[in-house]
Amino acid sequence: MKKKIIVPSVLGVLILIYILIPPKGRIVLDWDNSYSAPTIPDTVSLNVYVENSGSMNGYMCDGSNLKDAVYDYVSDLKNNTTTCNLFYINSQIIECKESLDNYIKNLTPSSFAKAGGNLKDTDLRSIFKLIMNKHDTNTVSVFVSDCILDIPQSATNFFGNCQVSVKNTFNEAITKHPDLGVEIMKLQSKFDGYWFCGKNKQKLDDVKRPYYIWVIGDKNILALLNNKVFFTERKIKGEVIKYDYCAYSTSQPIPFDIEKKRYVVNHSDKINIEVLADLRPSLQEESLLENIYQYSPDNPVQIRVASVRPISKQNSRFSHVINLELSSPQAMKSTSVTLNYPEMPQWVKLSNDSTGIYKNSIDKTTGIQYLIQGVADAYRDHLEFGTITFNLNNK
Amino acid sequence: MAKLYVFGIGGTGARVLRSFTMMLAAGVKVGVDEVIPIIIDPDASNADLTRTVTLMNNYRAVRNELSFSQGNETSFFRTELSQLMVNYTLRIQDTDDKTFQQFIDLPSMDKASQAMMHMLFSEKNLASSMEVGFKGNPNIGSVVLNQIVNSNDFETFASNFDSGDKIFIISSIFGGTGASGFPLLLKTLRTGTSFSNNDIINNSEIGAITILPYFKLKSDDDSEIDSSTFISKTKSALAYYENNISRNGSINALYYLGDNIAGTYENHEGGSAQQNDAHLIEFLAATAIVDFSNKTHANTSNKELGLRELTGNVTFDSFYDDQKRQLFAPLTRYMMLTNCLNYKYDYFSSMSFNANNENFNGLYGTSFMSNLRSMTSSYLEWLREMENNKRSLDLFNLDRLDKPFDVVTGISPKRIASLKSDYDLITARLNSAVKKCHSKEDYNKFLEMFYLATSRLMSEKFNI
Amino acid sequence: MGEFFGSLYCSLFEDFFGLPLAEYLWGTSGAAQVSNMFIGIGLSMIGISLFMCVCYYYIIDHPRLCNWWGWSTFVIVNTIINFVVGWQWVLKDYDAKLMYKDDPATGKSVPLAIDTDNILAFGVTNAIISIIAFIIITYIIKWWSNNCSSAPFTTLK
Repeated sequence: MKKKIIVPSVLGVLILIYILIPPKGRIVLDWDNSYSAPTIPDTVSLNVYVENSGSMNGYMCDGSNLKDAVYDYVSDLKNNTTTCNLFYINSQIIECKESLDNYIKNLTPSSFAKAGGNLKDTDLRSIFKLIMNKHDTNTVSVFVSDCILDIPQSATNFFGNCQVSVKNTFNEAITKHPDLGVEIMKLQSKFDGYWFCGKNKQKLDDVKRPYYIWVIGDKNILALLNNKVFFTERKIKGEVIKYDYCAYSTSQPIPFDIEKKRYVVNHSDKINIEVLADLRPSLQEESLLENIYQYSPDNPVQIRVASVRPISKQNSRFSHVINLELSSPQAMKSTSVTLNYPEMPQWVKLSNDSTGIYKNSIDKTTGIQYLIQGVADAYRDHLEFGTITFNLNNK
Repeated sequence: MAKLYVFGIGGTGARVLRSFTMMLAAGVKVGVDEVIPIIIDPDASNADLTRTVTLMNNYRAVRNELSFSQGNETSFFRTELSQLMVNYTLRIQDTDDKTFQQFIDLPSMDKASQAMMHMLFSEKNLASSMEVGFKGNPNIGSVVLNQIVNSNDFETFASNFDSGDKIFIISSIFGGTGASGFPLLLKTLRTGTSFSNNDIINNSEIGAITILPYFKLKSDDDSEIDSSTFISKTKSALAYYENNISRNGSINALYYLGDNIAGTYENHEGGSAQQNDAHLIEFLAATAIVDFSNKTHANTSNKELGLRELTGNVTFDSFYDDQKRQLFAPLTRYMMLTNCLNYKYDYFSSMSFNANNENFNGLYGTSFMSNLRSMTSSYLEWLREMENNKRSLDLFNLDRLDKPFDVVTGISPKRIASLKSDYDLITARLNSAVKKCHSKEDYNKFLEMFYLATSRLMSEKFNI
Repeated sequence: MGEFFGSLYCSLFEDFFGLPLAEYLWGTSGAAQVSNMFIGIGLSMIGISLFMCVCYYYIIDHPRLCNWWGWSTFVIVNTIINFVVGWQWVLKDYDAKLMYKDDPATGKSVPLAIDTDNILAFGVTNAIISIIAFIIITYIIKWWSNNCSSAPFTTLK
């Protein structure tokens, strides 16, 4: 047979086969885009409650960090909310019609006394009830307190009882406001005065004692406020405020986007996907959100969270870039990554005192663990913030 | 398929046949498909004769391997050359070892006849040996050659003759064999009845060329031939022809050819030393055969050849257009073939020549190729002899080796737009020609390839 | 067609000119350009090789070039041209600062991990592939050439 026929035909056929063979390794992503983040209401009203019981007097001294911090923080919050209502709270809510400046100026023992209510016995159970009863969907409630649970004489299961009560309060609240979020910050302040716990009291001079600021509201509103009025790096008198933080929020589908949808699998058999996600409604701290172990992929063998970085671009719809590394993606049909809410942080237990004796409690708070555990119990159905799911198609 | 019988008489006849064979090899168009040469010369050892016979055998060796299929226009070696008799020669008996007087059996004649003989023939004549012809004595020839008509060879010729065949006779008017043989042969053909097909032959178309003196011989006392007698012999022969050939209509076309300038040859009486270089006149005589075969002559025509220009050497430009057209293309094509086979054979027979990759496997070792090359070498030799002769026929530059298109004397080739030049251009034309060949077998294809390529080059370079 | 050309270049040479550049050329690196550049480069490589091959076998078709070194000369010229084309084509993007992508975190343009060595290596890749293309095209088209159909292997029969 003639060479001039065979060789070109064979070559032509080989080339044709090579062209027509289905190519390897092109992946196209797609996902269900139906979730859209809820809109923030136009009016947000800020309710600020400062506990005016006797145990709080010690914080209202000269050079009080509490007053400075609250003044600073609430001022900023006020700028970003529509209305601001100031209250004292103990056994009842006492409205204060002053301006914020006066309000803060009047955070004094005498004003506390003049405001009224039961200054002696503070029942945090009822305080939370009162606050949450007044809480509306577009309300942000800010509660400042030392959060000491006054242990009564017969206190066999007092802490447990408090825990359950708080749980119930917040359960109801979540039912009423399904997007409710709770942020709890522990700060230190100069304390000069009497420490009370139940029947126990102790005069303390110039010590540093913990106090708590609770911020409760729709998690999206809180996320927005966190964005605008951030607590990190907040300076008072030139010093950065140190604080401990924990937060509880509900579960939801995570809003996310992936800009690059088409991937070519090269011979390393891995692809890197950058997922833009809005994690702010989780209300968690940055260090937690950037912790790759906080995320669980549905297929840890093939999916690895390589990194989570915050988005510093202004006005982005998203808060973080999650970098996922997928191995052998052609074999995968869909991928999910879940952001889990953390366990109760260590500092809560470390801040807790169960004895009610001042010696153990100077830098601690009696019963704080049970209060916060109550909140945690109310959120036990929301162990994860949400999941990012998308599909991989072989093309 | 008409045939042309060409009778070449004597040394001149043999030399003209040589030129004619060269023209056939080159592919000059003749009006017949088959040429049958018949040589009449008692001098069998005549070197001119043996050279011509060898050439014609060579031609036939090449031609026998060829066949021209439908669409194959190749003109090289197209015409068939056939051999009727041994060495193409009509044997003249009884001249080998006899003297003339022995031949005529003088001793057995009566006294009166003997006296007559002594009157007609000189002593030298009577005593001369006829082994090498009649040495310029037509009187002897005219007696001896009478036997032609009775020979077996003549009968072979006659029985082969068909209606429509033509006859052409070549002779020199100043020689011995030619001068006597021509009128005798003509008379036999026209009036003879003792051979087959005599009625056809008697009425056939017959042409002849008679060649007037065109060379001298060095004077040599030992030789019986004296070229100073050429002119006088010519005169007397011409007178005889006028009455006995032209006037009585026994010939259809009579060609005359001669020249003033004469080169001088060595004086050999005959035999293997009588090998004269090829001459322009023989070339022109061959063109007369071409002319005769291409035309029909009803009544007697007498023809002479005129050249356009006759100052120095004869080149292609010396010819008038008709004749130039007849000769220029075939001879130049054949010249290109010759140059390729002579100077560039190593290239063309190697695998570097692309056509050899799909064709001509083993061709270059065959006897066909060696025969062909020998034909082309003979062509070169023939051209060289004529160029060196007087008057010179300078058709081609025979020494140009690297510029194959500067081959024609006095004619420069046209420039064509191509990346290739000289032998590369020839190679390129050959490579494209080989794909267009109609022939399937290698021998035919080889020549057809050259024919197509050289034809294209002729039209590109010389506008022919 | 994009798959064909992309895998042509990447299957053997991906590591040689680097995966980031491969991603960029696929059009999937998230940078400003999203078209598959392999198609353009591949077509030009085939086009140039085809042209050179046709030149050798049909346009120039010179009997003196009908040997392995005449053919090789054309291969070498073809290789050099394709090296320059491949190199400069991609370098143009590099110089035009197209090899950047927007970091979704910061919103800023960050350069891709491609440097001039990678681009040179890609030029070399294009050159190597063009040699293969030239050889394949040779064995498809050479048979009908007038004067050069036996090149490059003229001594074999």
